[in-house]
Amino acid sequence: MNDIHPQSPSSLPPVLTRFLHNFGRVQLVFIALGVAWLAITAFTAQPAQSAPIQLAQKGFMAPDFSLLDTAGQETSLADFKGQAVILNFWATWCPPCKAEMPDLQKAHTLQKEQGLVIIGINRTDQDDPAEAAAFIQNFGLTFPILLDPTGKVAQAYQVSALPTTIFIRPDGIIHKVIVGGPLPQALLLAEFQQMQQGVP
Amino acid sequence: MLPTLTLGPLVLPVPAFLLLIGVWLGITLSEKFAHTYGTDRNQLSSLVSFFLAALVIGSRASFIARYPGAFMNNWLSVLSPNLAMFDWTGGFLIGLLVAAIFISRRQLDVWKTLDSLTPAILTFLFALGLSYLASGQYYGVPTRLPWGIPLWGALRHPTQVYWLLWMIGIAILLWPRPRRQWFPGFSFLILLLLLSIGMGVIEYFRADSQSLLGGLRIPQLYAFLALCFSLWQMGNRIRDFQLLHPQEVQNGSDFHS
Repeated sequence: MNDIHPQSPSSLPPVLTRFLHNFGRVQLVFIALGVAWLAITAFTAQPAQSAPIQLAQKGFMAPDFSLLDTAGQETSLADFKGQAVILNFWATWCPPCKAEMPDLQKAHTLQKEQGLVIIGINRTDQDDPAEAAAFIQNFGLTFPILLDPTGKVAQAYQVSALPTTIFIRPDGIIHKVIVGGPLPQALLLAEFQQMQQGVP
Repeated sequence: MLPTLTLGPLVLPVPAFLLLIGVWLGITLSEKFAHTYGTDRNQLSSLVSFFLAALVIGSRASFIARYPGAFMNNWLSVLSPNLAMFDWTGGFLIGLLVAAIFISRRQLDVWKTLDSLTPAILTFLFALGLSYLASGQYYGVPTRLPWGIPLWGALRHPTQVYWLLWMIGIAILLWPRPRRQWFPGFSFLILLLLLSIGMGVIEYFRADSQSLLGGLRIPQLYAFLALCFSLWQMGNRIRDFQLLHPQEVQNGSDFHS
């Protein structure tokens, strides 16, 4: 055959022709193997995590920490066990951090009665505490703001850029990590709803 | 792992960037090889454009439909470019619907169109594997095998690498060649069959997949359904071909569409 249509193959070997003639059997074999594989994997599935490891990644336990707030009072993540928590890492020199602060404050005002906890963590190792205090006052922030003077907590949460926002479910498992911003209020509320409903 | 890349004041989300490159490269390849599958390049371009527009708009609409209360006090958030505010599953279904309407209106050959989209689908899935590698998602269960990679506090199966290797294997097998198109739909159905096999197997080594009752994983069930669909349609196509060209099958000669 000299002229080959774009949809035409070259000649098929007889073994392949026989294979195509018996395709009904091939279908059955594939489906039987598929069912067998599903059954084997269901019975021998390894547990995803045998022990809850603390890691800043979706599906792992959020690393616990204790930091001082601007008034010098100590606050731990463990204090909010059983509540959905939004951790927001920020600094005064970061423009998207500034842009999303009013939305964080609005989400806090709207949903704090429903159990939403928003915690701001100032990267004090890269910031000036006095400027941070002025920032809090200017934006009228009423949710807890903690200071991270050594950057240890930011390191534990693998914060590579600001802002970084970590969503933690009531059972302490990280629901989502969002690097960058600004995060709109609608997103914060939608994520809160997901965390409450246990949406993966 | 490289979740972000800092370029001066800009922080680039590497996984999303890789996906964008995958979409662009995939569309380019599909358009380039459209003639191989007997489809019109311009029609294919329009189809992909409609699908992508419907995917983006549909994903945002689906997100709003799922969480209408979140937008009550701030409707301007509807226009936010934030990537976390898209429901891609809902958007994908809307995109498929729009693509189906487009194919029907323009009276395109469904199977040839699907064949011509295989390079785009494969390239996107390869980019998806790279984006998983960059973000650390789709990670494997702990292992003691020598090729385990240290990730998330343990040596783990490199499931992202398994995925990438499987995609490369499929690409080698399905690289557009006119003589290998036995019937319209051949490339797409083989792709679907191999994808479902790969997904079903690799899923077993994943640590972050959703489980169903009794240890069954949801993606494995989807993969099994895709396997059944591809086999069923392949059987239909082969039967149709035998009805149309019985002598050629008997003689073991060429298949024609």
